[in-house]
Amino acid sequence: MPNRDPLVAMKPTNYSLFDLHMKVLFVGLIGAMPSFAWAGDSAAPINVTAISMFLGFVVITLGITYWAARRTKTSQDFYAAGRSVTGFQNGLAIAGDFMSAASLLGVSGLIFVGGFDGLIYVIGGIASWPIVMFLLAERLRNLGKYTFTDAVAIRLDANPVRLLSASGTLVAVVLYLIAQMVGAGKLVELLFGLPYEGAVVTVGVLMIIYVTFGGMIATTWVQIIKATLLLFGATVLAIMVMVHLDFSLESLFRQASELHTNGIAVLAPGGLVSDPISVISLATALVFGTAGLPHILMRFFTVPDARQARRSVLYATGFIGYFYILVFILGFGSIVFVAGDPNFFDDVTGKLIGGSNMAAIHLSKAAAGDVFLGFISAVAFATILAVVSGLTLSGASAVSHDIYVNVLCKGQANETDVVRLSRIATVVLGVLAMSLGVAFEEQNVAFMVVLAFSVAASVNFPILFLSMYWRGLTTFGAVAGGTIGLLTTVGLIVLGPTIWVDTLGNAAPIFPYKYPALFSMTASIFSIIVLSLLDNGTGAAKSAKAFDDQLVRAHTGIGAEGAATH
Amino acid sequence: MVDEQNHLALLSDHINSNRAFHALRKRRSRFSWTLTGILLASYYAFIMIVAYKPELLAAPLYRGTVITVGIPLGLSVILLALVLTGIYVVRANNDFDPATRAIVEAAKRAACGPDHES
Repeated sequence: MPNRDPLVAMKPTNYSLFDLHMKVLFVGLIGAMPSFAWAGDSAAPINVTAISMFLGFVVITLGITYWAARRTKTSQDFYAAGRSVTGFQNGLAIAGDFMSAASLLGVSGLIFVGGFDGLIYVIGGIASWPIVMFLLAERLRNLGKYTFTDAVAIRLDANPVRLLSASGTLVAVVLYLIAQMVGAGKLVELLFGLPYEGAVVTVGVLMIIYVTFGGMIATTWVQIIKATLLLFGATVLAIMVMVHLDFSLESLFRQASELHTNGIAVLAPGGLVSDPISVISLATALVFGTAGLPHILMRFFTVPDARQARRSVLYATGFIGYFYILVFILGFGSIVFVAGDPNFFDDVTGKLIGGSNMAAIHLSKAAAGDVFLGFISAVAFATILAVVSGLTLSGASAVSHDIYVNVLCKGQANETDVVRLSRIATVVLGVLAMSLGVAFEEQNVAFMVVLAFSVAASVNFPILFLSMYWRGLTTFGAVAGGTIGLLTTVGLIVLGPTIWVDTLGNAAPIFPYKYPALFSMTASIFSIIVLSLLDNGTGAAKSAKAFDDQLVRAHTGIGAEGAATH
Repeated sequence: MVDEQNHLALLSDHINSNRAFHALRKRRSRFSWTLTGILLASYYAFIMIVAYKPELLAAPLYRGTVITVGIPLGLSVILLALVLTGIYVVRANNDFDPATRAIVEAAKRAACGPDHES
């Protein structure tokens, strides 16, 4: 076995570096507390409960990271937690990845603003999980090693395919990271009175510590703890909302319609997206994007076999479905409790303090009091931390495992180098995420997530799906078609209303829709199929035999990557 | 390493020439695609109504309520996703898993002889 304890030699340095980071962080956080108090006399008073609860989470998760660092020896530990995660744990971790700040804050904020149309996000988010189950999860586990790219590369000419799916991964990861960072900054700005940039840096630094030292083991457990806290918090809050309303959905919706500026229309479609093409495009991005999100697909390699991968999806679907039903209640609850209360609105501008993404946070104060506000805020901040960790690990694996090991080193890389490079990539991605988080301060977080989903739906999903299901797929078709998909998505985003008009300041968008997925995914699949059919290269017969072998492996798990033996 | 790969290739060929494997593959495919079809059809049906006939969803569920038809309909798509996922797991546990095991074991016996289970 080539991948045995390559990090033993690095361990001492590791620990001292880790300790140093912990000290710097604690001194930094505690030292910063008086300045929270200083800032407290302006718009946002300090909340000691929130800060201490968040610090508690940080202490526990750093402890876990320390424990995980000792267990992270091989690249299998670093990327796949030694394949020792159970289906239940992984289901919770997957649900945790999906229940991001964008879900909790963004979607409840969208319901707060647009009412019924927030339900599109809720339903799109949940509808993708059965698709992942029926078509992807088990096959992916049987075919891949650490990244979904492994499963794509198994039958095709690996280098170009890996470069393309690694690019798809990185673009989706970076867009998603921006959304999370913006959420973190807004949240802490509002709650702690800390500057936006300070929150972004805190998240970035903590996330870099979790991932560099604890790899997938730490990332998984941070996610599991946070998912548990989040499900608990959302449950309590939804119950508190319903207690005030005598558990009557009728009065929830009635009061929401009386308090919302849209009136009764808040319970009908049209509040957020009014043209049909945008609705369909958004729905497509949500359902197929989830099925192509690299940090979620990566989690299927942390379980021992396909059976556990299947259990993971079942549990994840259950948790996510339950959570989204709660978010739906919280969204309408925030209309009832927040929309009519002038305390939550800025005196000068008349806008909701902190923007619409803060609706659920205000709700926790209004419906459950200050202590619970502290708890929910701490959980929301923890959510962001956990999700950015998973995203960054996934981005780092694309750089180190897909590009460095397999493309540059032809699979012959030295284990120590691989793990070291993953750590460097983590730090670089972390710094990039912090800078972009500052640059994109004014964007709606749920919307940024939709952009990430569009890339995942237009590049990652088509390649992964067709490589597993279509015998006729060729390397040229996958790479050229996938590239067209990626360029189309990015191009349409740049030319669309969000960047062309809002960011670049042009008068009118060249591409009229905010959500490109319907067009870019169609372009991608169409190009992949047509270019594969046109490509009658020499590899055709070999490729057909390879497809047979791949099918056997996909169905039976013969030759699949097993659990760690150490 | 090379031996292991040859062994895997041998197993793979055995499985691929087993009619039971292809029967299982087809049965499984048909089931997965049926469930996928049901889910996508319901999901896009809902989305198409939101996109083109939103007034259908804006109607009150019954006389005297503010709750619109769209709300329970949307929530039932969530419920459908959960139910279909559950159905899949039950079928996979009770049918696909034992069938797969039998096929793999048959291939191992054929490839390695009866007393060389690996």
